[in-house]
Amino acid sequence: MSSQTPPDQAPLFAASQAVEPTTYTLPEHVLEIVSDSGEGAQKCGQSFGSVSAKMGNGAWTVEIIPAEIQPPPRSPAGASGVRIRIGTEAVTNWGDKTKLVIAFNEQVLLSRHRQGDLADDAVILLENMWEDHPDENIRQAWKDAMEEMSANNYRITLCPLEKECLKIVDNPRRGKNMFALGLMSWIYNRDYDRVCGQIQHQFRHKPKEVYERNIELLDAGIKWAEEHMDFRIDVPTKVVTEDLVVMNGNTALGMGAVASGLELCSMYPITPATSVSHYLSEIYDDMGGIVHQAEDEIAAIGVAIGASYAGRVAFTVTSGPGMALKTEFLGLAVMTETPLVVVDVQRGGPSTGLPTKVEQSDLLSSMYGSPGDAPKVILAPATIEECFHIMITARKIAEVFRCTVIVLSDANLATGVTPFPRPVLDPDWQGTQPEILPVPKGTKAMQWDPETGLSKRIIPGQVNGAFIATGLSHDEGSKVSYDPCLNQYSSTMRSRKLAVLQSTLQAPEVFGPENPDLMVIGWGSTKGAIEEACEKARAEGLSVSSTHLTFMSPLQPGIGDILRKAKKVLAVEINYSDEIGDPYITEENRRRSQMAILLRSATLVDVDSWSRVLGQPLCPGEILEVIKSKLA
Amino acid sequence: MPSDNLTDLVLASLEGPRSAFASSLAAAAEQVRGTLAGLSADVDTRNNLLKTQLGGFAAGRINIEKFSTFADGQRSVNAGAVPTLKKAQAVLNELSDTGKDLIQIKVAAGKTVRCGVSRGLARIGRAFGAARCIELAKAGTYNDAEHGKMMEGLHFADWNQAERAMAPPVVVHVQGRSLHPSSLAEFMDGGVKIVLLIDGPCAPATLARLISPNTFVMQTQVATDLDRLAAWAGHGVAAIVPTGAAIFTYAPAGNTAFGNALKIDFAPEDASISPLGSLSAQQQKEDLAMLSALSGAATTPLEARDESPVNPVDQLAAFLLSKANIEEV
Repeated sequence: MSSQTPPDQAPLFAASQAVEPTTYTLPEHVLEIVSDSGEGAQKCGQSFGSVSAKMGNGAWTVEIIPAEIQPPPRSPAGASGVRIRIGTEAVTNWGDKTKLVIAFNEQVLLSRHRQGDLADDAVILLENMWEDHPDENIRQAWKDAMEEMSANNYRITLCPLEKECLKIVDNPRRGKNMFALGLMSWIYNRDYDRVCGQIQHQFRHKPKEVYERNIELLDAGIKWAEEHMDFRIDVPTKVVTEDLVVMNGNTALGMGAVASGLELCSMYPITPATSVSHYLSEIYDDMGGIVHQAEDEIAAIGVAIGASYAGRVAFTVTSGPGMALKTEFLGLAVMTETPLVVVDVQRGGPSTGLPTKVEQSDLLSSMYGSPGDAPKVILAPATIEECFHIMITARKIAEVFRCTVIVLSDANLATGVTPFPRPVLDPDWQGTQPEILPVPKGTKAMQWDPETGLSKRIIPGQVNGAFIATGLSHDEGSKVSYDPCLNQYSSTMRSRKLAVLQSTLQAPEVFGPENPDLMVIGWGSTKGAIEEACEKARAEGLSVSSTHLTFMSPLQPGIGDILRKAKKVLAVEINYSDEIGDPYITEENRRRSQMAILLRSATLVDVDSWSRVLGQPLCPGEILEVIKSKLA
Repeated sequence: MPSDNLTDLVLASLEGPRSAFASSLAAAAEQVRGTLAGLSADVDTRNNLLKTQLGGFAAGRINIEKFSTFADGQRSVNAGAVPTLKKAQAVLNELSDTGKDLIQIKVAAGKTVRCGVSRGLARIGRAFGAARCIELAKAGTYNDAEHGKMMEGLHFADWNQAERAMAPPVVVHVQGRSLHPSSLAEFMDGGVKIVLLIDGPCAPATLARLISPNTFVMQTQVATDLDRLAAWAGHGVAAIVPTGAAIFTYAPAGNTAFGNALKIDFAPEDASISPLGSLSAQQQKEDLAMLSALSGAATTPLEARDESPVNPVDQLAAFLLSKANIEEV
């Protein structure tokens, strides 16, 4: 076996005879496994990602999820799988084009091709059974697909996945993914014991025979690759010196909720948020807590508000359409100043939109999507690790400020998997439970400090603590009042809390020069892609910096100063904005991306925006191109 | 004396309810530690606590000193509570550190089992006393002269319903000769579970007189049988008895008749019974007779009897009355 620095071109290889494989050492590589829904490509890809992370590679996985639950087989719309980016260094995003694909049929491959996700010279291992299929329509579909993709320089190798799996199992639909894992394991030289361990973990609840059968399939994949592939890819690993955990963002959110002492998750199932509650359902029995699946989104937040009112800090988890339904109760939580944490795992919208795809389109609706003025704290994790830690902060802010804290995650963080340092658990994260104590006589339920708007939380049922929580305009004693001056005053008090919170915040960090030609600003899951793009731009000699917001409401202080130091400012987001140059679009009528609107309003800086709603994470390469065009 | 091995097996069977109580104890200690840290006069201590409570996400984003200005405003507990909270914390930590010994009671020779259990439960009751003192101190109504004794010992008679419900199981090492377990009836409430590890010979149906509608009662020779008691939602008593004693389980369920809830695996012959300690042979035979009566009475389906259906409680009362010397009363 030889090893060499990679050429500019992707590796060439023959698939029919055993030859001494060439090993290409690369700093990173992006690969995909894609199949029909239900063929296990996602499990295979996630296993590969986990093994890579455990071996010491940086890793980031992004699930390719069909929009429908049971899409028709062999259809581009039904493509299901995982894109995995592995690197020697830490990986913070899904990268640019895919360099290697294992596809279970030509239609799912076509889907990836049409989306422009594959490198022009991508290496493709494609199931060969469809080419000579007895069904004329399938043969024709194969032919058409191959023709459509022929303009690219893909290096396609046909691989008898089905035929090889049939030697071991009766139903290859339940085995191809493990055979594919074998192929990938050999190509990327994954540690065999770790791969077996991962399979064992995956099938820990199944009979031993199931594990053994899957190992047979894995071995068959490795053997086939060994006999037919003439290249291997080496992405060197680094020695792991600290304890790491590997998980997706929704698991991290759930784990963070437990760590922060949130005892009640009241929810109604909605993609892509549901898996938070699935995880909590598994562990709350042991950890102490309840997942309450309510009859609908409205009831779910109602239960959370009620639990919090009664002395707990509860949370609800949902996605965009659920947030829309919760609007009225969000107003109630604000009006009654009941501490509440709301997790919104954003997906494509509007309406039911793109349930399984990522967007960052709920920012303004979270902030302003309520009747009347309903000030809320809005936080946004930028990484999967932050999904864990943000829950602890959210709970504390909700309690101290008697307010609603919305955590805006998104589908990219929700299903992406990456390693991060194992949190060292601290019991103090759970804070102290609200004191169930007699209330000093004369204390009022909303006894606002006239300067800060803050008031002491009263747990109902205590001596001197009786009050009526109401969504109607009320005075300090929570008594209904229609006095217009009082409504002005109480609105001021509720709003003041955000300003007070902002006074405790620090300015966001700037990556790159302080006075750049272009400042790129983002929020949420785009951080990794933005910073990578800016780093590459700086390496090319461009004066580019970036900063990333995590406090969206209130905004961190000093942002205006940061932006004013740059010649140009560009907001990069995964939500919609009009493009200058499009028909009818002018600077005056242009609808900008959501954070850009916020920043322009808050800083009076001319913040430009570049955003996309393709239902997938942004790629660093495309951001780099935008940076170059803005500086041209 | 029962072997260490047997004790270990018994403790293993009771590990579920024991560790549940231990967790509550640890959680209470942890909570008071957090409260004390929040009340610290030292600003750095308070800020360090707040920094932790805000979590890693706040690092570099929230100015802790500024935030603490507002976090302190939510504090309800007065600094005057600190000495009591520290005392209570010490009690909780002490009991927590005792581990499995906390639930083991050794009845000294010459002492009654009632006395031993009462003292053991009072020791456990210190945890409840400490918890009560914490709440009183937080509310500013703690009075050391009046309340302080609760942390030195809180007798079962003074436990409230919630405390009785969360009582840990206790393992009682006792001599069979001096065992009069009917006196344990006063502890049969809430979630109290008592396991008697009997040393030497004992009356054959020593626990029979504790059978009552909602009390789980078991005599066994196998420690793992105690898993049933551990899983029992209410109160109960079990004894690991020597060879020759009756083996039975009484596991009441709803309105099930006594006999249907009572399963006797073995009962010795009357003839083999001889006086033991202060118990005459006749007294021991009466225990056995009662066990047999309860079993036999209910083995016959109630509806099949000539008389109208009898309430099991009335049935037991009638039996007891028939055996009592009314004139002496």
